[in-house]
Amino acid sequence: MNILTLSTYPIDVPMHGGQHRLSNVVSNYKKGGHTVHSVGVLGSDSYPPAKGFVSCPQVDALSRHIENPFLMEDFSIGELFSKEDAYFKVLAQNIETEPDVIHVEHPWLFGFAKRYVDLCSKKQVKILYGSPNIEYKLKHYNVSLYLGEKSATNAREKVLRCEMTAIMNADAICCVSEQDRLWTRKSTTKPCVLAPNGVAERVTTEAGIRGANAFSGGRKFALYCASAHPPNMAGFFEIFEKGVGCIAPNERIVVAGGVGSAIQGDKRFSKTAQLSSVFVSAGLVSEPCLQGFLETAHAIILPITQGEGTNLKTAEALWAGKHIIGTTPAFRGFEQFMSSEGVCIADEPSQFLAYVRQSMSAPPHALSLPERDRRKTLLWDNTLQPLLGLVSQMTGDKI
Amino acid sequence: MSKPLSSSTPMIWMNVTTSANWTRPPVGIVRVEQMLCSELEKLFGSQFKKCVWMDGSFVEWIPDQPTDKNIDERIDFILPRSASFEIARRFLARFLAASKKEKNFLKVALSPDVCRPTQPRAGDVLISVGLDWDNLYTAEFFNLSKKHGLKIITCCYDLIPVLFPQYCVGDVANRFKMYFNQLTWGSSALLCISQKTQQDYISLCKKMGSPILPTCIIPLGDSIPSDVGDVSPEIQKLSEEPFILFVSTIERRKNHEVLYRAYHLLCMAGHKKLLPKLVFVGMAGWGVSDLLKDIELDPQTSDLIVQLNHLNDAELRTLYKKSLFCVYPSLYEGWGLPVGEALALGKVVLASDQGSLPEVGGDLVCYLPPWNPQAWADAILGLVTSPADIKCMEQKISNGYAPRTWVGTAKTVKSFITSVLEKDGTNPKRTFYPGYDFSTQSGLSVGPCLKTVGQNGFLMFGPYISLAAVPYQIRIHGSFETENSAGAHVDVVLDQGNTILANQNITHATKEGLLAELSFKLDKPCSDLEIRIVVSAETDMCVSLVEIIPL
Repeated sequence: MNILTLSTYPIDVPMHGGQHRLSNVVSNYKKGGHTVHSVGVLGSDSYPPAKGFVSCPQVDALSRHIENPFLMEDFSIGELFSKEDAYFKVLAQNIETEPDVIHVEHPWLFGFAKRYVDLCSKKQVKILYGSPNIEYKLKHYNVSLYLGEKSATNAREKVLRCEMTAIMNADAICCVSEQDRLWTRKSTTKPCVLAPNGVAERVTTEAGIRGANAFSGGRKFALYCASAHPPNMAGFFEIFEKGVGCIAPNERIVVAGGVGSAIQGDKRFSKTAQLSSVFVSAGLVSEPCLQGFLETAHAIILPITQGEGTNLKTAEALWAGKHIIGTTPAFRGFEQFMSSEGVCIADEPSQFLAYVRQSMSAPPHALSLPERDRRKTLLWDNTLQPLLGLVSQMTGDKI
Repeated sequence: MSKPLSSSTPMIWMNVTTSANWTRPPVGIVRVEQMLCSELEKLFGSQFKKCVWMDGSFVEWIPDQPTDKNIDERIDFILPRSASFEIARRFLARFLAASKKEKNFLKVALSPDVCRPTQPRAGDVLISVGLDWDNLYTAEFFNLSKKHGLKIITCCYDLIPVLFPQYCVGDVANRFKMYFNQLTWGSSALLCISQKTQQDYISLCKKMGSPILPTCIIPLGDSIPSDVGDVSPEIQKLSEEPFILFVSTIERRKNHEVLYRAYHLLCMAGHKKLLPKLVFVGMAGWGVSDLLKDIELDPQTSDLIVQLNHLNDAELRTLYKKSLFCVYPSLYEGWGLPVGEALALGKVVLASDQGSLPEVGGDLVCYLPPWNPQAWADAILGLVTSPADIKCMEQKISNGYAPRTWVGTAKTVKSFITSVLEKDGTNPKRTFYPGYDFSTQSGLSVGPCLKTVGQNGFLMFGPYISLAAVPYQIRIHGSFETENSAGAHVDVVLDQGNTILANQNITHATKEGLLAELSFKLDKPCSDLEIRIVVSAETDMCVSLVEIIPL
């Protein structure tokens, strides 16, 4: 079966969580015997050019469908490519093989997919909506951080409409958490499966460890991996703003991913006691280096206080087998691991910090064999299994 | 004569860097450091030494002896003006003075103290209660404690810069949060001068996630000013009339303003003739220039408010004794020594109800809200117009107030030191993770472990720590990663490898993951213990833990 994925980011070299998820979805489809093509629109100039992807439209084009496209680029892209013929054609031309199933990741390009099926497809193409988040809530939160409540409310309404269109018109839906699935179910009777975020079984290399050591200086450290996605920074400051006394003078917090520079650039950084002396921002790191961090970290922190969907970094942390200090929202979709060995959950900042201190003072965590086996359910092959079943169900098993 | 100390008895060191660098009459924290030092010295005898921070380490402090001009001149001529000139100068002076007394210079038997400054050693206790936030050594406490095995006991006077940065110069909240965090990580235990300070400190630690240390409340001695010195005619004259006394530096937090406003209100209400003079004793500090201007220009209160400065102890004592009563309206205090001083001299006190002040005088003091000038006006007028009430309250204070002594403070500190030593022992087992605490020449640090990567050389060397002179066992844990791995060699050395204390070949790991077990005895304390593992390119091993266990 031919499957087409539509997204606002490329997946050739996955960096952020969304890219990792979709990349694994594609691999999973391929392992299931399907042929997969990926096309879409680059949602930002920061993405490198990729085959099948239209470059990010200029601001003036994005502004035609929304007054201020800042933080709403993905929504504007969806409007532009579904409503303006010229843009629609450019993206449609990138679809080289007529698909049997279109997997639309996020609701943004759902309008395009629907129009494409209606106008261009000669066969009965099914549309699967991949929902990695409840988008309207997330967008409201993000926009409110920068543009205030009025813009945030406006954004929420627009995104909710877009999201409901996807939910109500999709032939099937894939959610990442039970919570999300329950919410989605209220608006559709179509099949709706749960395929949580997972983790890839990767190999740690000497070069990767040396790369990680270059940042940690061979010190004991707590690792925070996160993108520059605003809730990742907001959660960090919500937890650590009163000071970082939980980290000893000879220990560090190493931050991998875009959130590091976002935190350093925030005015709260210099006002947070002790933060500047223990904070190491590794920035965007290579996959081997990331594995080096996961291998050498003493603890992994997940100070996520906002956002929807499931945190892919939680799966990575659980698989790494280190001490984990996380919040309840960080474990959305991974609730069954909240009381696992080596995992501490705290939503109240001082309790979170106390757990960080306790974990950093404790001996290195070593997973027991039964726990290691239990955590194998986190591997992408297992978490995405329901998606393969869903595709078969949609198309009547015609591979 | 005190008993000779056994080698296992920890020495109690008092850091007197603040006092050693202080050139003015001791006040506040300097006074605390000096009084506590003096009393602890009496309690501990030969187990007690003073030290100062000098050239990156603590060295024994020996106050200047009466000097010999000839010797001084010779030393000044020969000694290079290095950073340690001052301390070297004193030691050399003692050496030359000792040699001068002996007929044969070469036969002079010098005590170790004369040859080189003694320093705190592993297992010793270091007490530091000075102006530590202004000194570089605070940042070293963590290292001194972790690497050199010192038990460091520090002191928290108050958290005013963190809780009320608005009363301080500049935005000092963050700086002091970092200071307290540094203190916490570097100390084994902490002294607090009041329950309130203890609560504030623990609350800050919880908010920041810092470790919660054992704490001990040490009520400070009521430093009743002595009657040594001359009382100036000006003070004598002033004290002949009734007056109300407020002893404190003049700064915003001390809240002189509420007293001025209370006086203003009373004058406006027609009570000016009833009011005694209000005497402020203390230097004018930051942020009070507008208030002082108001006081100077206000026609209502003119001639009623007097500001005095640079008084000697006898003058201060005279003012306390002759005052009608004392006031202390501070917005926040970590303790409140002037309240204790006034009570110790039997005086009635009107005090703010904030911070630690209620701890000083308990129910012997009349407490008022510091933000309410009318409440102060009413209370002042009440006392001024009822001398019988003052007499009655003074009687209650005389019967009920037990002045705190510095001996008592020192005894509390001594008992706390004992409890700290009992809790951890003077020489506890120490655990090291090779990946963090050791260096490697040929291996790779993988989190807490050191792993071979097919290269010859030192897989592990370090951690250069201080140890007391007792027998030890060292246990090295890890694993061989492949069955046909070559072995390794471990040794325990001092003096950059010149003294080998123990060594053995490592050929296998036990089922429990033990690679090597070495025993040795240290005849004298060391400060550079090194453990080294040498591997060949064919060795495939991982070292995960090193334990040093005193026997």
